[in-house]
Amino acid sequence: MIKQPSSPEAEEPIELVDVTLQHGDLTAVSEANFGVARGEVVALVGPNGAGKTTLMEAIQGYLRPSAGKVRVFGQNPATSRANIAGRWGVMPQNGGLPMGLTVGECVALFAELHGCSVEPSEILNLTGLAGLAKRRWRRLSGGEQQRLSLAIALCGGQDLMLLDEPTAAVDSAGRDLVLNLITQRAANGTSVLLTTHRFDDVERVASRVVMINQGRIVCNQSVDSLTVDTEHIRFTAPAELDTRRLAELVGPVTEKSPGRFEVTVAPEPANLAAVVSWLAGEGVAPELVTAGRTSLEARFRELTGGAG
Amino acid sequence: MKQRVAALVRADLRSAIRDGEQLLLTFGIPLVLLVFFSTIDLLPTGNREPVDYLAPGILALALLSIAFVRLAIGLGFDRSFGAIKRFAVTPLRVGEFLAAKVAVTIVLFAVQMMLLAAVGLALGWQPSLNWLLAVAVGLGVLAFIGLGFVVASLAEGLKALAVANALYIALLLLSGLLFELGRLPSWLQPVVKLLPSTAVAELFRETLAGASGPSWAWLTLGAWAVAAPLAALRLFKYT
Repeated sequence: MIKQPSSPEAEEPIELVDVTLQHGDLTAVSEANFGVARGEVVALVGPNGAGKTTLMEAIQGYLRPSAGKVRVFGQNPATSRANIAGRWGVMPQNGGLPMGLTVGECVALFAELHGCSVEPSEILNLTGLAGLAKRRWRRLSGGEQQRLSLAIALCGGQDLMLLDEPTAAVDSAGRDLVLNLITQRAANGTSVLLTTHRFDDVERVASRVVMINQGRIVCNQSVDSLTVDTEHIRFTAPAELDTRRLAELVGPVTEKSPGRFEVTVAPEPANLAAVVSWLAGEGVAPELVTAGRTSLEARFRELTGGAG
Repeated sequence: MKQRVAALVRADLRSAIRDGEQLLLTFGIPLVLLVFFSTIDLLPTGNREPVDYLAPGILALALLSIAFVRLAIGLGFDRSFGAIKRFAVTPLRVGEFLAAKVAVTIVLFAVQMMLLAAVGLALGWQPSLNWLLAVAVGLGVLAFIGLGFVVASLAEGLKALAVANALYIALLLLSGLLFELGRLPSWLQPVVKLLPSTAVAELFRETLAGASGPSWAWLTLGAWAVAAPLAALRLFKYT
């Protein structure tokens, strides 16, 4: 079994205070503030080029902030990475491995480098790679390479995981495996910071989401608080459906995008029943009716003006 | 620390053994050159038997191939594939990474030296060992590894391959590895004496003839053995 986190120390696993990051003259991230608490799963989301990977690189100590401070377990990762490295496992985006090694040899190598207490064979089993242990890593598919990358991150320290797009290029079974492993690790007290473009992944595993757009953090809230919606009922129906009667009966109706309608009314049972009843009367069988919650993706689009 | 270095050494040696193309280039070319030019007297190697001149020069070429070219190309590709970055987030320190590369180079060169010596002896080579050969090998390893890290720090992927191979050809032609330095234009001779490969070849040739080698070669190689690793430590980044 994966053991409990090795250090109960009180330092925040990740802390960013007013961090500005530059690539030459270009400001990639401006005045970012957020942290990751012990045992918390935080998702860093944003469109391509928003600054997610730049932030990850700063947290790993590759980039020094031009202003503000980055701390990992209270230490500066740019100057103390080797000290911190015993406590984290990192899954980089497009990380390569030494040529010629098999999957099993890669996992064994990184387990030794990290001084990992878990047997490499157990990590291979956990990540569904046991059957591929003797295959050269270069011959793996994209999704299998992602799982190998996660396996190597699991060889690392058990206090923190940094995962840059862990489900990119992974099929649905592999995605379930990756997300379940993240959830299990977090349940054992590991803090996780992950980046992703997949809002459904965020809703499955993250407790908090940090949204970044054009280098600025536009939101840093719990997933629950972001997805709660006390003002709307939403449904899908044929585009350009005449909803004037529904508006008279329940409340103002807006077609947000072709076939996606939003009624501005408290999502109470009586109002919900009225909407469904009206749809039935119109002969419409909606694919989706939501009340009380909105999707993270919809919230992200509101906050970023449609980016992503 | 020892465990981490040993793990990386084992992994690197496995990679080296499985990389057929690199093996052929690194181990095969010096062997072919030794056999070909020792049996067919084409090169201006002086009054002695070709193999007596060539064997030490080919050993120097082998060290150049293993410690410089192989390392620069391997590191350059590891950087472009993101493999170095993967090590950077482990507890493996830069010094340990360097130590592992030095150890792998020494192992590979020891194997190559035995192969070349066996072939050379079979071709009639009659060396007379001086213990200073070991010092020259040590200084040569440091100088060439340092240069390999410098190239891989400044260029990655195919660029590192191109730069390393270009330097390999230039040093092969200019360092007296296959023919006597006296055959080069007189204005060029003092310049090539400043090259680490010239110094290594000269010291290998002298110490394998039982002599201690000229002071200019020791000075040149000593300077490279200090300057190149220092430059590598300054330039090499774990990214």
